[in-house]
Amino acid sequence: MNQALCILYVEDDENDVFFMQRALDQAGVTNPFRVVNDGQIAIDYLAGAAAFADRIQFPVPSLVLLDLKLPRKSGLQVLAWVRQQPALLGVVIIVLSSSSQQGDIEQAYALGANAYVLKPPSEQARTDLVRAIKAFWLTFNEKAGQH
Amino acid sequence: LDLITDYEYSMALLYLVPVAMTATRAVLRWTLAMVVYAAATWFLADYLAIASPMPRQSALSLVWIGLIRLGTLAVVGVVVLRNQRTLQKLRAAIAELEAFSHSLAHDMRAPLRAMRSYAEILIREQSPALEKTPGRDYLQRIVSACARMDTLILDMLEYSRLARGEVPLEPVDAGALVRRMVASYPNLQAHQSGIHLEGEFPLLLANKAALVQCVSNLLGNAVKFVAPGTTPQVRVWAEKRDRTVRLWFEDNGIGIEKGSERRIFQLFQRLNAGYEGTGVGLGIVRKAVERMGGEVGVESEPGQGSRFWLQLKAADKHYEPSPLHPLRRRR
Repeated sequence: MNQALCILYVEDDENDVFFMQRALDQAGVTNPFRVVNDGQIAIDYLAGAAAFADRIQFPVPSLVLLDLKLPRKSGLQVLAWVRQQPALLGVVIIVLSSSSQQGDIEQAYALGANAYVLKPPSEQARTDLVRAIKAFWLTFNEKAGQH
Repeated sequence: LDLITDYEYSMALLYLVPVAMTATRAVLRWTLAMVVYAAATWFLADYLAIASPMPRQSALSLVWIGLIRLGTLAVVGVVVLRNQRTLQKLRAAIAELEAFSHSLAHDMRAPLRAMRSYAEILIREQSPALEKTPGRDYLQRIVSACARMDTLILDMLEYSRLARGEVPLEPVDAGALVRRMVASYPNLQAHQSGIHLEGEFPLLLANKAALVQCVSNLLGNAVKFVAPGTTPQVRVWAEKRDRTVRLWFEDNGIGIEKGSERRIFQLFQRLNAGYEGTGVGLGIVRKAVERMGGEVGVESEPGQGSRFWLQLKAADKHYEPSPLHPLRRRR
């Protein structure tokens, strides 16, 4: 596993961020992990705008975990923006939402999400999910030319 | 030329008053009264024309009759318009309320998830400290209460989705659908040997997702509400009635008290304290069946089991299953 692969978590609920951090620790994921808490900041981060120009400190992520309900720009808007950036074509985007509405799921796939996962309801389920993501997306899945 | 006489004043009032009233009052009993009034004046116009001091065929009397008729039509027009607008406002208000409750229910899940997770973290990380104290039990109760509330919210979301969403109908092979569910649903799988399908299942006109929801809840209840120690036995069959088909679900459960047969299909009605549940399941069944244009009901005696039925339109005989139809492909 390439240790340099960065994970970006776009989530405005700090509890969910805390739980995700724990689950990553428990699953033994040691990749750099960055968190942004609103849709516009996510776009700024991915675009490498002023505050995020330092790519050593804020590496381009290989994997984005994206909530849908976000302040300013929604997750779907972020998704649409990312998929229009030729430089970000290889970024894997996993939508992590609590919405099981068919409309949200279809739209996310239409906009180019790689996967759609419902927010796990328990500690155990969350750890299982992160293990599965580690095994597939961070290990087996071939990354498009990032470096 | 003194055209305005007392008689004509009263004529003018006869149609101006109701028009003004209906225009300002959108209340139902007013509009009802106004419709009656309008109908009355329509015929009154003829009578007044005869009783008028003017010669019957005079131009003036014809003008007055015309005006009264016009007034009547105006009343009707205003009534219809107001009702239309009230209806529109009502629909918008209901839609807004539904959207509100939907997003409220949805947003309640995040804090709930947080509560549950922190309690779980405490159980996991503080377990030496919690040893031999009731604290561990309290935390476990927090976790299960959160889980129960989450189920409740999910049920409510399902209910509101059924109430609001589109429910397009298509021919459905209910027999294959039930068989597949019994084989794959975790809560039914365990009782697979006790669930028997009997006879032919004619094609139904239904929405597959909604029907799955109904069958899942009815069969789930059938295997759940049994007396302790009893093995659930469920019979499912279809009864063709003219242009409809009735699906029957008969169980050997605890049954339902007389007089509660209607109540159990209402939201949050729980008749038995000893069983886990949110009281939404049968409400979902009723809403789903209603949205598919059908009916649902139950026959039962306490201790004798229950026979739930749901009745839907039969599908056209000429229906040809498409090769991609997943339910048909299984056979």
